[in-house]
Amino acid sequence: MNELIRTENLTKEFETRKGFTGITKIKALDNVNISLYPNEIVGIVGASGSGKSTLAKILVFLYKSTSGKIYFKDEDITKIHGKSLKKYRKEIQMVFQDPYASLDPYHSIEWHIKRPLLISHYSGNIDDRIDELMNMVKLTPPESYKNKFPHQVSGGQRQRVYIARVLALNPQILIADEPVSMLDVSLRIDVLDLLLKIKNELGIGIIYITHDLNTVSMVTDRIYVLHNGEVVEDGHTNTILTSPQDGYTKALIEAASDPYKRI
Amino acid sequence: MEEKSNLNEKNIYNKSTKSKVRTSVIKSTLGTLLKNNKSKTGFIMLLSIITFSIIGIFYSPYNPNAYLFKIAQPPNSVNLLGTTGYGQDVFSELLRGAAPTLMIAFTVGLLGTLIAVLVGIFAGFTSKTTNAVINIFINIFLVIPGVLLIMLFGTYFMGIRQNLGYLPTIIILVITGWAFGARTFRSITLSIVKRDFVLSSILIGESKISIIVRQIMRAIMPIIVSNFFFTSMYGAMGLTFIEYLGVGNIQQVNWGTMLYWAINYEAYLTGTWWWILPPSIMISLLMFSLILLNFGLDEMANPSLRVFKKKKRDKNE
Ligand SMILES: Nc1ncnc2c1ncn2[C@@H]1O[C@H](COP(=O)(O)OP(=O)(O)OP(=O)(O)O)[C@@H](O)[C@H]1O
Ligand SMILES: [Mg+2]
Repeated sequence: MNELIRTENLTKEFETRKGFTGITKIKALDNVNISLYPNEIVGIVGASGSGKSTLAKILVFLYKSTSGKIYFKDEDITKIHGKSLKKYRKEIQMVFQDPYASLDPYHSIEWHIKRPLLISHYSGNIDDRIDELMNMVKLTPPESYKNKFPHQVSGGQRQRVYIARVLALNPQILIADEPVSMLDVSLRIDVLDLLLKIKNELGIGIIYITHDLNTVSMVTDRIYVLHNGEVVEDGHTNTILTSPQDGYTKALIEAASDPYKRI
Repeated sequence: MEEKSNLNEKNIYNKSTKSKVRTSVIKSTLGTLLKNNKSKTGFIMLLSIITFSIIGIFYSPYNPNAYLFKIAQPPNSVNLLGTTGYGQDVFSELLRGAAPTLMIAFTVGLLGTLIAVLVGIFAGFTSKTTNAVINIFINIFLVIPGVLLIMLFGTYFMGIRQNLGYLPTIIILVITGWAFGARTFRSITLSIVKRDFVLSSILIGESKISIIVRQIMRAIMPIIVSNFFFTSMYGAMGLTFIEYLGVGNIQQVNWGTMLYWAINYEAYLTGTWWWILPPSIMISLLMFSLILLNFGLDEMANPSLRVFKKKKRDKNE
């Protein structure tokens, strides 16, 4: 099967002004090659500042890459803009880290799920589709959540609302940037289960970004280990967690008390 | 068959709750504003002043422009608030002058806020260079003293003013009054567009216009209302100032021209306090009512605060 999305030597440099002397460059991503197949969850693992969020934001075109290429189903989409960018964006959606910031506090939960349906000109009955999506993410019964505002539901429920919002667009790819790191440990497993369900039932390819090796073993098939913007190791999750080759990966695993511990 | 009726029921349920929610948003917005005792007082004060001005449109005891009485009479049974140094009835002037004063204050508030919102949000949501250019433009208007602009435009309009009524005054006040709000809206928009919920809408495929109208304007609505109050205040104050400087049309009757003539006559030296005090007090009351109204806006700005307080209230009831 062909890749859903693939990057080729993706590099991102940030320029920051330092005093009067001039510009310093930070290489947030350095020749990154990753790929994602349909129906799989791939993990991007790395410590803080390793470039994980930068990678996510480049893939959804919130940032522009400095060099390198992005392929969506073998089509070079590195330089798309305007209408084709809009079309592509429907296919690849992102779940943000902080569900307290990613939902508009002035709009109801129903609004958040309805907007993408209206924008994508959903052809069926919109109210039914909203119910269906809310059932899918286990916000049941839908009626009791629809008119609530984000501050009236828990963090885990917010993240579900957000996932329902992006699923409304029927994307082929979902990028989840530390989707559970802001949540209570007790709520994490439900959201991770939801990611698995989405993969299994809808066949969506998911890029799961995390610094937490414990959650990565739960959901991912393969992982990429990112260190200072470079992929230092990649392969099947179990293989890497049991016999890491790279020194950085070993240090990461050692730091996490038990990668197989279920949260 | 049964399934169908079930579905219908569900639809009806949805529709009724939806419209309920929509009206309750409006109600609760006004409601929260009025639940606050200070804004309630401000609201009642403003309502009284507006009523006063409406009466003045249709009725005044005497013709406010006519010199019907002895000059500089203190308050008495014929002239409730005495007469001016030229022999006009002060109360009639106060009553007749209310509507134009309010009209100018609120027109300036409305237009000034409209321009501030449009310029500010556009600047905050456009490319870096356009943003910088607009910012310079805003700052130029902020740095140039308002007095200078008022004198400049005032004298420019002096010649052609006669048949334009209050338009020149309003234009001058809007030109000098929009920039402060624009700067506020620009910086707020800049911070909002970086938030995740706006990025999310961009990713979902919302258009810029939709994000501005549905999300940014919604988020800053209390600040828009507050800016309207303050710009209206500026309008009322600016009117008196323009008239005081003599660059307005001093033949018109409003609280500003009343002050102009009173000061011109040196009412404060001749002891005709009944001429200078009423317009001063009315303008102060108008300002005060707008300031009080502003107090309720904090709660409106924060929906979670609102719900919390509402729950607390419900419990107490
Ligand atoms: N907009 C930006 N401007 C300048 N530098 C940036 C910007 N965004 C990220 N960086 C830098 O790029 C590097 C990678 O940042 P990134 O946010 O991708 O890390 P991360 O792996 O997501 O970390 P975390 O786990 O803390 O979220 C960091 O050194 C960061 O300082
Ligand atoms: Mg990050």
